[in-house]
Amino acid sequence: MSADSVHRHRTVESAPGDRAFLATFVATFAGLAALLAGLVWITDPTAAFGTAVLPPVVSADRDYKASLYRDGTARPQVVVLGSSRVKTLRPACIASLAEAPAFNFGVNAGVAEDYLAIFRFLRSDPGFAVREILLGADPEAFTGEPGAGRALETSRILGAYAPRAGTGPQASRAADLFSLESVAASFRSLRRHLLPAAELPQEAIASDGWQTHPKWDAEIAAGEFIQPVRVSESVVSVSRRYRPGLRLSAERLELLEELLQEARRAGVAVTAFIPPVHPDLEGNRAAESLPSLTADMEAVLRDAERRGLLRFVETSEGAGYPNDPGLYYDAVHMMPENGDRLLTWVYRGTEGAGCAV
Amino acid sequence: MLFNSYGFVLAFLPLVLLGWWALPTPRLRLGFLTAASYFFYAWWDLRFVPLMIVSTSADYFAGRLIADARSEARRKTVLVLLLAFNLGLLAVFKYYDFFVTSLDGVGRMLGFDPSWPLLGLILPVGISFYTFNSISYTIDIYRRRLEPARSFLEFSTFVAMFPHLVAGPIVRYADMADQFERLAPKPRADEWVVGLWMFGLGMAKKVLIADVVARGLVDPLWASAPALDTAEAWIAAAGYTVQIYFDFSGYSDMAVGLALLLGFRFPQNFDSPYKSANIGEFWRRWHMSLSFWIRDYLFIPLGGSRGSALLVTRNLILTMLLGGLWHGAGWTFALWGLYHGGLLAGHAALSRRGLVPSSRVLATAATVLAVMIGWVLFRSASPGEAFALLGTMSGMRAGEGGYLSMVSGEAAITALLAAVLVFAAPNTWELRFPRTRLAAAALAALLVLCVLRFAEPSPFIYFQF
Repeated sequence: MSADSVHRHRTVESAPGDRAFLATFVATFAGLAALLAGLVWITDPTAAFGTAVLPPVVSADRDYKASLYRDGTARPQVVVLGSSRVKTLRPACIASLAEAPAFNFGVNAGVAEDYLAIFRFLRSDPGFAVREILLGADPEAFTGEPGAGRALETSRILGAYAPRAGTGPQASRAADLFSLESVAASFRSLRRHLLPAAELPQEAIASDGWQTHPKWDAEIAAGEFIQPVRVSESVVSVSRRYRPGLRLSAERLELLEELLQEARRAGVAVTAFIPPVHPDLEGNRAAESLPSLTADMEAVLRDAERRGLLRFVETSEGAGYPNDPGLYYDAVHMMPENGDRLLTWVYRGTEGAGCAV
Repeated sequence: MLFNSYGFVLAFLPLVLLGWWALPTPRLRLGFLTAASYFFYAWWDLRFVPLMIVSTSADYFAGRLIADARSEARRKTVLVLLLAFNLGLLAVFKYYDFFVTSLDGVGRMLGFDPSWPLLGLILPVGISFYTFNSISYTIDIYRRRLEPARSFLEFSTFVAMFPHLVAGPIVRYADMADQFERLAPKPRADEWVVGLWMFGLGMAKKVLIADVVARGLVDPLWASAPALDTAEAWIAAAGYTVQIYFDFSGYSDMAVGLALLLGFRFPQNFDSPYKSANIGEFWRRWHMSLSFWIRDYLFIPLGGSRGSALLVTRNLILTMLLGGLWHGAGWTFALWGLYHGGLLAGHAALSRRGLVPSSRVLATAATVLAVMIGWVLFRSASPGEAFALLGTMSGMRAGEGGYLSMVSGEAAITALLAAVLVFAAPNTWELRFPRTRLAAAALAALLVLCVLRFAEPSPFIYFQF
């Protein structure tokens, strides 16, 4: 604390190239920004602008699945709702077990708002024939700040059905245009368009909403898919989401209640389960709030079952569910074969015959 | 509005620069800059703009009253009233609930429950910064070291200027008066080049280093603070040491760069503080505008380094305690201030006995270690969390560990590279910025890369103060 310190200002010396420097800076900044924004605008990887000159690589699955549902010839009687964790459940397997046509309406990063919006969209269909909702109640979908997420808000079809529209976080258009994620997705889209043989797509969605992973499936078939590595990598990243103190959101549980009440009024039965995850994630201490979230979710579903709003199917190991750790793409996404086991468990229990797909 | 936001970089800043340099007269330009700064502030919360205007008016008119007063008693009365007003604002908005909660705690320990009502007010962003700017103005006039501002407009611009409004540097009117009198009529290319470099590098320090280390290392580890093992606790503390330096010095560089784009010069706020060989030197290099402020307006009036060792120790500890509380109304900040006061007093005592290490490398390592321990107090949510973490770091307690898997590879590598930069590279004030076209293109690309990372909002650490 000596008194000899003085305020110092940045020295500024002029140099002959200053004007050229400024001109180059402005031109490069504006040019690069315009180039990247233009690329994102044209490829529209998150379906935010409606341009989509090239097919998007980050699947805008809400609109895509809504279109598939609307354009389908047969009206499904069983519909799967949930996040990406249920997207690999085969509707064909459900059809075999439930003896009714099925559709998988699981969506990426699906949350309570999505489930209610999708159900209301289904109800708005003049040919509505749904008699059962198969709800993959991923606890994460009922945490966090309430409000329609960006994907639902920008969905041209489902956005109109979003509950409490406009109350959620209003992500900016600028973020759609200028974010690393958008730019990276645009480059992937461009690459696939220019070099179609370069790689198989990461995701493909069939007409019944079933999602497959052609790239990973090809690697599995060729014996090149190193599952333990992929699982352990994703265990690390997924664990970060389950920070200490994370709890179910009362507002989002209210939306679940609304969904269940509306389903009952529509004469639709709801069968709910918590999508299983890889045992390494369950056993990872870093995923600190996962056990309590799962227990809380289970309590919520059991309470709803007591009130006759749904049928709850427990999917924990303790309940005897035969989870197969070898049949996961990563920490949370099941391979279709594991999905078949889950569906069989949901419809038949351990003793029943599996689905015939 | 954050510097690291789309709205600021792509709209607000270009429009303000355009307006500032296009308007013909100084009055119009200052009026425009003040209005733009209020807009910048209102973007966060419109309700607190009137508070800033009231505070600005009080300081301006008090300054005039002090300068015009004929008697010493009247000068002193106005100063005391004005200090009471400014500190009263801080007391109400920043400290009231803290003191009431603390008193309640003491009351309960003594067996009664006073249950004083809490105000639950939102802390207006930047109130500590602009209040200190204003206090120094009034005191400098009282000390006859400064003439009052020529106009209310100039003073309002000084208080509200958006580059320093919410997180400093703490600028003194004495530094700005001449600059307001001689506003540059046209932008200078050399100032713009240096301004853009300072802004771009500051942005990169914040967005590409501090935020990456925070999200991938510090936040996930600190979220499990009580359960960390010794190595993890040290990694968390070291990560925060890197994060807070790049966050705050990045903000300060941006502020200096923005001021240059407007033709103003702001004082230096950081001078490679982690290269300091003792704690006194650290405080002459870290948040320099605050250090010099508390030296000139607190430490020296208390007696400074004059008097017995005991008196100097009292002055140091009291000054640093108040400096700690300036950062935040909480026991962790009070403890952090006391800790640094103790370090300064301890270093002074060791110096008198010739017991400080002669090797600069050793002295620097010891200083960084001491500062890092202080950051644990600063970052922790409660004294309990801080002591648990410090206990783990010292080996006196051990959490179960197993949290290293939460640290992302990107954050770990960034933190290591940043640490190398801290100790081995010149700081932004020492750099001679290249002026070639290639360098301009590289700087523009760096800024675009930063803009691409704006999608996830990330306030500066010092915004909370």
